[in-house]
Amino acid sequence: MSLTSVVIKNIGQQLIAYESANGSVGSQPFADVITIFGKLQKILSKLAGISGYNSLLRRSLMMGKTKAKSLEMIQIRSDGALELNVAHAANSHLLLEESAGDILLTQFLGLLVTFIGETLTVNLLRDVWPNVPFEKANVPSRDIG
Amino acid sequence: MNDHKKVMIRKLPTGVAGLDEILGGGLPEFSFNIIAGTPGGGKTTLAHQIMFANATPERPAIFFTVMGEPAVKMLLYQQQYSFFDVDKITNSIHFINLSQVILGKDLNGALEEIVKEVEALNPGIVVVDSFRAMSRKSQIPTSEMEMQGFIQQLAHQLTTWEATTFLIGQYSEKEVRDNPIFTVADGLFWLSQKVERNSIIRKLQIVKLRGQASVPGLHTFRITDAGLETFPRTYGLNIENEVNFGSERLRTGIAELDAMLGGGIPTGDSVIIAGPSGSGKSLFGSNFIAEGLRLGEPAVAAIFEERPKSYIKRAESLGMDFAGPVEKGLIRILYLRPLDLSVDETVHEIIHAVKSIGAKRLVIDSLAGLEMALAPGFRRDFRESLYRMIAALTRLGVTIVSTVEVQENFKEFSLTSYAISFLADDLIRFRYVSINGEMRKLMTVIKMRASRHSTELREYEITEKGIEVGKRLKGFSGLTSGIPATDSELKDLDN
Repeated sequence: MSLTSVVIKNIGQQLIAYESANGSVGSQPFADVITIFGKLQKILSKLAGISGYNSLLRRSLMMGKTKAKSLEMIQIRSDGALELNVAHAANSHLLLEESAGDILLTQFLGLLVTFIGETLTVNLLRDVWPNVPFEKANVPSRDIG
Repeated sequence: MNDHKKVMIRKLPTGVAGLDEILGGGLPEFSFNIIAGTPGGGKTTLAHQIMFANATPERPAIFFTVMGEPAVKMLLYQQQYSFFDVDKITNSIHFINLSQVILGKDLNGALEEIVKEVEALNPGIVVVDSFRAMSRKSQIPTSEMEMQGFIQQLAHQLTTWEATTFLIGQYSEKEVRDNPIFTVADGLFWLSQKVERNSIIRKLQIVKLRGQASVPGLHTFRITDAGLETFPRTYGLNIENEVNFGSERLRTGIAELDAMLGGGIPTGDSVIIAGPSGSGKSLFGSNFIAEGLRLGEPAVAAIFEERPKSYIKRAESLGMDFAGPVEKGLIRILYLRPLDLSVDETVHEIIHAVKSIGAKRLVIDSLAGLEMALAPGFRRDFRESLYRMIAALTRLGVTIVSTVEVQENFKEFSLTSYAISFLADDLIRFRYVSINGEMRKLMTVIKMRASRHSTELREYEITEKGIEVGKRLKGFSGLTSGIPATDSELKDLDN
């Protein structure tokens, strides 16, 4: 795993931990990830347009589904908002993987880093989550396998 | 005397090398400008350079994107330029996508959205890329009149908010001439690129600029890793150099020739060394540099026909050490041979080199090589370009030696292949002569402006010591034809 991938994964986990600790998420599956993407949507739609943001999210979800089947339970609305497909979730026999949210967020942030780079991605995230210490997401090189 | 009563327009830096000079000092603050041009001309990059040069957290820049290049991809590409400072994004530079607004509303909706963001962020710089897409993509069909009205309102709003504005649009040259939209703008920047055979020539023109005198005409530019780099036709030489032309003589390193020249080449002169292939023109240039080094005078060599390494090596084989002085910064060897070079770019490179080491001597070897390195479009104006180049370089006070290849024939004594001898203050001609079944060499000083000189035809040889000038060739007539007759032969003919 590259240094960038590790950093992105850590950032994703930091965001999920932050939102969960703040108690701003509900008890539904993927509530934390949906909250995070709701915030990302605001800033990134402004930057890239709704269609630009949508296309990034759609691709991330498709890639995420190959790694975590339970991501089938969520869908993207036409305005770019992420939501739980309640009917699908109720009837699904899919097991909710613990890391599914991480995977989706990592895929999305990874795509963003591919296009606009790590520094700019982190700067954008800082604007939304000024209290999250993203610099701690950096991992010393000896920890990378 | 009432200048202090008039309002002064502050000039903003463009962040583009050479452009401030073309604009007459910089961008007029609060101006409303249009950057127009053909696809791939560098319009968006130019706007980015201006933003990065001026945006601060207090007076940020807003870049509105409309239906053009996807913003995320644009950021990917723009980040490759050295001027792109990632830390300025979100802090001093804001990107806002208006595509949805344009698709869903008319131009008034777009105007409202722009004004709302401007009120919220109080920007110093506003860019709309591309404003032409607005009229094409808005849901309600937009007439030219409506578009002009929209631009006028936008200009009013943004000027009130003390923003310097740039609207980017893709236009053909004909559209720029005929489009009434451009009457609203204070400034119109036109960027074009033309393919000529296998070369691309990029040119920039300030078609209009209210409030200050810009440099008219087409200026060549390049897009490099640093973004746009322009080459103003004024070459940064607006201020006259205080050079005492001709006050001293520069020794050439060939004592006999210096004597023929009346003590050497007058300082600040432009000298042309014309001669056929193999006659020692390049060697003369090297000698001129080496002699300067001996006297502590730095030199620049702009070479087009061989690489710096072989230039240094060839000099070394004749006992001239260039490698050491190059390292010490006493010589700059410029190897200028991209195939789409412009004369303006060449002159800028040379001027930069001359200024950076304080060169007193400049060798251009050769003008034929320079012509070959130019894009085909520039070759058509080669004579005119050379005139501007020599004029600009002599203003620096540097003494120039240019070599020119002459196609030798044995019927006439042509001076140069380009009919450019009028450009030179001094002209020295090398040539071959056939004497007694031998090809021998002679040199003569054809002209020296405002200075007496020898009119002798002197034989010379190229030896391991360099150019060795011998005595005047006596007893021959018709030496300049290359096939002289001895005086006794002529007498026989007369009898």
